[in-house]
Amino acid sequence: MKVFSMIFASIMLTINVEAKTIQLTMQHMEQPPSRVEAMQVVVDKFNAKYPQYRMKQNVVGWGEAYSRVTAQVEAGVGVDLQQAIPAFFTAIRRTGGVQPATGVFNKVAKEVKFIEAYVDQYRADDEIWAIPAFGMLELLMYNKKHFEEAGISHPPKTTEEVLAAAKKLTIPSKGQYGFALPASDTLAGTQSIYTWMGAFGGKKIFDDNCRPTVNNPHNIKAYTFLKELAKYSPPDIGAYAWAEVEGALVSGKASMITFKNAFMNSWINNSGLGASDLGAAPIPVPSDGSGERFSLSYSNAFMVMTDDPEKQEGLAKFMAFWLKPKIYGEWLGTSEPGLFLPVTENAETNRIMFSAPVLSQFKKQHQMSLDEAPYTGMYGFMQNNYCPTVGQFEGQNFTAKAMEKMIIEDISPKEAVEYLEELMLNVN
Amino acid sequence: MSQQDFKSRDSKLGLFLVLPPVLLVILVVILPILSGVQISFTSQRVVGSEYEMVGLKNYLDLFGDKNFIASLGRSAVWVLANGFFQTFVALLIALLINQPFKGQNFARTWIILPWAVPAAVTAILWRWMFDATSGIINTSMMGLGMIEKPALFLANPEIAGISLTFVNSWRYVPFLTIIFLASLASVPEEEYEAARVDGAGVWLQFKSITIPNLLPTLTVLGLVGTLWASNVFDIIWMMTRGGPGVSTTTVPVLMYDTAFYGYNISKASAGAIIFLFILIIFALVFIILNRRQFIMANETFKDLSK
Repeated sequence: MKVFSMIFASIMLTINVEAKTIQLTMQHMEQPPSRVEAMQVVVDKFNAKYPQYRMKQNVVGWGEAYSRVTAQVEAGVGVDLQQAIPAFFTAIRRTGGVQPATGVFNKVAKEVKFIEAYVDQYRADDEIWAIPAFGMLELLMYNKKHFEEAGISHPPKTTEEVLAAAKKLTIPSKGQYGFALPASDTLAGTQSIYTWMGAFGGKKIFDDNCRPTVNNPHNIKAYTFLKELAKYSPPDIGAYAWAEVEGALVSGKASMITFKNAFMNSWINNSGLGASDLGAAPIPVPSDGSGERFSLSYSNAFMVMTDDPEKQEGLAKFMAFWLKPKIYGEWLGTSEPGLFLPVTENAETNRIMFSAPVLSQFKKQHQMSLDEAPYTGMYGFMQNNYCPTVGQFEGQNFTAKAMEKMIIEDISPKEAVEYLEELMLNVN
Repeated sequence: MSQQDFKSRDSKLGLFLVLPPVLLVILVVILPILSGVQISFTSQRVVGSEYEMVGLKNYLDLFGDKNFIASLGRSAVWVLANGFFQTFVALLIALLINQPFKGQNFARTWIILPWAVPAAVTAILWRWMFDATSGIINTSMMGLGMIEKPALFLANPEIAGISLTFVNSWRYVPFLTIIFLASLASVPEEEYEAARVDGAGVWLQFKSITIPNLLPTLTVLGLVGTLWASNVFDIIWMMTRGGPGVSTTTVPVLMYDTAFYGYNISKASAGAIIFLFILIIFALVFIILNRRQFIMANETFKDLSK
């Protein structure tokens, strides 16, 4: 009888513990194995520290993210925490499946200090709609060896210097080109081209009434520059996306690219060069002072999809746990060294991040990303409220389409910019 | 038990056996199409968002949309180019492999290999081979002095479609070859012997015996191949995403882009329904015009399965 009672009690205890465990699911689009592995480390540590919660990560590709998430919301089987970038958030918000995250954010903000620029991209209608997790921005990345061989002593600071260097570095007989510009209808094209638009002073693509404002002298100058730069790029840049651009610099086919600091592992393993041979510089600006120090920056954040208060409490705990210096610093240093930038202001986080094996070799390049963070912005999020059509602007790669048309049909930069504005106006 | 009882029991059994696949078709084909039709009459931007009924607006917009009309034209060119090229090459290979030679069995077995390669692998493989500066095709051609400047297989709007047709054909030709080989096996050898006795040459034998015997198969492939080619999306999307410009934007590519990157699911649904309607009309007309060939093809496949 005593044994029976003990068994019964332990069963009841197990049931009780099970009943108290709150299942949480986060879904992200960081598919490469190293990123999934690093995220799992965070999840496992969280589950160990907070046994009342059971966090699980779910991974989908960016290519299928939109269809997957909308279908999940429609079917009522959505996840609790969903990764977003600003334009993606605007699209998913339309489904009605995104909950205001101000409450969760405030709880997390009590534990960590966020960099405001990363939060701003998710402010709308007096609410915060996602909790920032990591940032990304574009830099001018270059092959220092190529520069030395060509007798170029420093990275270009002006757009005129970019063209001069690209011309000098283009040696088709060696299979070497000055710049690898992604002139394709892809997100890689969109990001690279917009970065240059911003550097030329054309970062604001809508006015406060969300009317497109891209047809302006700044952008005509930017497209003029890009058309010239395309001459010093590999001939098939019309088919270049991220992989090709990165591959071009790593393989020595191109001497310069605008890119996120995302390929440190690849540089070490495949370029045949050392960490010190990879240069990183701010995006150059026109010498006449008409532009501004600028780069595209993405605030990658997590939207709260559940309206269950208990789950929201768990999500706040998870985000605060993840963004604590030790866990966050280690995650930033190992997940994709160099690509992910901290969204919190904390010296300890940065110290741990920089002590990671790969990042410790690329301190200068990564520090450049951190230094440029204040001079960044995101298309469609620079006016009073975000403009809903920014989803199409990004999704259908309007800037890249205009660039592609300019190169293929050999239209003038002015016509390309007019076409860009026409595309934006035609979104209905 | 009377003969009528047997018939009645057979028909009940038949119904019972056919019910699961019919239900499956309703569930995974008919219902999604009906859902697409319903969405096409709304103003829905993303799945699950609020919308209003807008009647035929999406359809009327599409008929006035020069991008959509152009994509229909490109789809037609894509289907014709793939159809003719694949049929010609597959038939040629089938005729060659059908001749007795050492290694015939090996060739018959391994020719299917490209068909088995996943589309994603095919796309990556050919993207690399087509690369302007480090791709094996350009470096070989330049090394042999055949060209001075690299050919922009995927970055030149004038040849990107041809490159994609080639890659798509590389995938599908092996399958068609196998079908042709099966058909060739059903041609009675006596007919060739009689023709040879009468002094008919190779060309006359091909024209008067091979082609008429292959006609039913060609007809079936004409229909199935058109429908397949019309719906090809994976290779195009992965290799060019419809570019450069819009040079390889066929209807499926445009509709996918409109739905998932232009956030306009209702307009994309309307486009898909129009395209479906065009394909159904094509299929019906094709079947009516080639009724006799379809009946013969049915007989041929029955013979082959015996």
